[in-house]
Amino acid sequence: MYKEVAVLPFRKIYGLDFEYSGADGEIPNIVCMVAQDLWSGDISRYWQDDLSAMTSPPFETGEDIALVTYFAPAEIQSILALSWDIDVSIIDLFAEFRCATNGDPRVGKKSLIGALRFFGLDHLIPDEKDAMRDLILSGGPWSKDQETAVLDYCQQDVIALGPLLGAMINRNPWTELRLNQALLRGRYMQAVGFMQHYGIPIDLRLLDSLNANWDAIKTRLITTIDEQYDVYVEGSFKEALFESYLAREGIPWPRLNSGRLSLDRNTFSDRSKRYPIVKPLHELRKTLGELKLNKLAVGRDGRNRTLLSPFAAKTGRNQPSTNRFVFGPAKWIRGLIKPGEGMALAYCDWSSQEIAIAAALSQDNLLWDAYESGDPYIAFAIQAGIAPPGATKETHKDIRNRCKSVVLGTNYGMTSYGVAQSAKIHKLEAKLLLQKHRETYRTFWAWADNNKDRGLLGLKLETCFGWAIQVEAGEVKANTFLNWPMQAHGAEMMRIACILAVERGINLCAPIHDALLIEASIDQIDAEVARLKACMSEASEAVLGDGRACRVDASIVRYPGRFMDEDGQAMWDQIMGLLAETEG
Amino acid sequence: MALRQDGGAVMSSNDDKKQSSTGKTDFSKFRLSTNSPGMPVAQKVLIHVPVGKPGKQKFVRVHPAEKYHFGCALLKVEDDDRPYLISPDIAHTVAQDIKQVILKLGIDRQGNIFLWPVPPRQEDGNENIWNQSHREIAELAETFWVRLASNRAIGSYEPFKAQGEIPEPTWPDHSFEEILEIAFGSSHVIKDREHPALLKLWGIE
Repeated sequence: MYKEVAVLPFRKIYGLDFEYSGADGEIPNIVCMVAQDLWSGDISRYWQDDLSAMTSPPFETGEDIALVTYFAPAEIQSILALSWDIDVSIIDLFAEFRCATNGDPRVGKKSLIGALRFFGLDHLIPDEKDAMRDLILSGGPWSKDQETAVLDYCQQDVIALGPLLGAMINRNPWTELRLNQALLRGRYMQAVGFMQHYGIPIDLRLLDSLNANWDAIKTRLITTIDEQYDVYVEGSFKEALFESYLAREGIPWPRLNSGRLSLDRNTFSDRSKRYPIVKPLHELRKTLGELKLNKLAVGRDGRNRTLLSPFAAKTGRNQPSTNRFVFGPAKWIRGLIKPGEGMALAYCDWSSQEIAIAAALSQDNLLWDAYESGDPYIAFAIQAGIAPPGATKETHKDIRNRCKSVVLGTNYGMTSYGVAQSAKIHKLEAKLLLQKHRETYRTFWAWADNNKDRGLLGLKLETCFGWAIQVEAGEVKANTFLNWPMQAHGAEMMRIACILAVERGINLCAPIHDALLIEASIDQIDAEVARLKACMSEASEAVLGDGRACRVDASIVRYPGRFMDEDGQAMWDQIMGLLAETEG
Repeated sequence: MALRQDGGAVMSSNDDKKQSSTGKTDFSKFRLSTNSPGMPVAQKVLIHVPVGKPGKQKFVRVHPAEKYHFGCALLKVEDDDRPYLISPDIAHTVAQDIKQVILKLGIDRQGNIFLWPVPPRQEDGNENIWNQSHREIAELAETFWVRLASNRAIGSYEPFKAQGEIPEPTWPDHSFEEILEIAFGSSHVIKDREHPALLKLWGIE
């Protein structure tokens, strides 16, 4: 058990923090760095001129050296910006604070200040935060006094790290396993730092054109799409006109308690599935409402770099900004992703990852057989007696689609109403299918119901690599705990794959839920995809255990091709057409 | 991990990051053993067991074991949906109002259990066709998923057997005595002449 920093098994432990400036999407401009030897207490302060003159870090490195940080990707990005080679272990207190308090309603902000306050270290909370941040982000030049003030400010963060780590392990002493898991999370934070440094290639010329013509495109887009709806007046969506449209078309639409139409994104998304005629309008509203092209964080070198926000979700998944990250806004925007000349991109994802996790963790062999068959939906239909043995996607397409809604929906606790909406079937049929699922996969359901009960009882749920959730107070939804194990283990799988890929020298651009995007030269891309698939397969085996692995699918885009999401293609084509018209 | 400046990173020399002979990384030192369903942390508590014939749209099964069948007398009192279980010692005092039945443990497709009062076989062979068909359907339900519907045209109940493969029911762990206790409790068991239900029936109170 490790109860204090002094006994942690490292040759040296440093607290470390950088300050930097720079616009979104750019490689950071390093301002200063402060390091503290947590055993001796010695503090070293370096201004940007000193740092840029160094070819290696001014502290010892090696696997037996630990760097303690609060949100390490920023430090890793800084180290990469300085072109230093480092080989260290990382204990990221942000990740550990999140892990230790996930689900605790008493935790306010997840910042260093929030963590210090949570552990009663208020006396270490840095002051003048906003003013100093503005001074740093101004990009200089700084007077000598300002330089001292910035270094003092940076030092305030650094000297809080040792006591914060001490408070964490004093409250809940770390076992060897717990330390190892913290170091594994630290390795992921390094991988995140690498990805945030590396970025995603963007067609900068096209982005500039879109930005320059966006207002005109929007107007034309509304005119074009609204032709069949007639619900916009001078660029504004009119609820009354939409209500008339729905009445004309005989489309039932959910209403709010006030009696007004429910116009949120989820309602539009649900109705679009049931009434595809509404889908273009849904896409238009998404594009107009959510897309802020100028917020996309793209550097002058044409790469999308933004915070991936690791461990932000309760499941431990990343939550990057929906405006800054190119995979965040409407799907057509992904068409801006384009490899440079001579380069290629590959998008690799785990096939039916959640089903594999559900089957492996619950040890429901029938569900695993369904996953292994390659088509878990038709396999369920056969296992449940809904389709005859030998049925395939081709021979029983309709049944398969219904079963797909059930198999996917059950992980989220979908009701018969939800399944009926999703599969476009009667509620009674949906109810029957859900019952068949429960009867076919009894072992899975016993495990899933138990997880739900554990969560509702305020007991801890934990992944195989130690990411946990415990909700002892406040509002909770039972379905959160039903789905949490699948999502949280999916996140573990993604983290391990990222670690392996980056540590093996694969140029990883970003993780996207259950997929990874990599870049390589055209002549190397096939080999790199094979290497990434091996990493992803290995990561799935590490999570699923017992030699079980998830299948990995890959799609490759070679220059001059561009990335494209199937669901975004129609809107992309339309916008490119309007751009061409606008530019004359 | 050692980050490299040429766009990648290199494997470190640390033992736990070394690949095994299979070429894979050993993650065992990070892993908790969560791959087991574990002991259930909650169990459904049975607090209500209805007594009655299953609805005409409900497919049901009957427990085939004799220990889940119980011959007894039931008394129905107006304005009370729940029947009373009456002790054989005093059943003769209300002979006109009671019904001799065999209570059989039943279960529906959702796993809800109930006690099904089934008419017993008449030893004199002089039996109402409704009762006879009722009993036969309950017997059929010991092997198949069935639902019972009345057909007034022929003056009999008719069984509808479920088609296709439907899984066997999962019966609760409770003993039949426990189930009887839950179904009737102390209020709906008549052991003496002072019971309020009898007093009401006789117009005494």
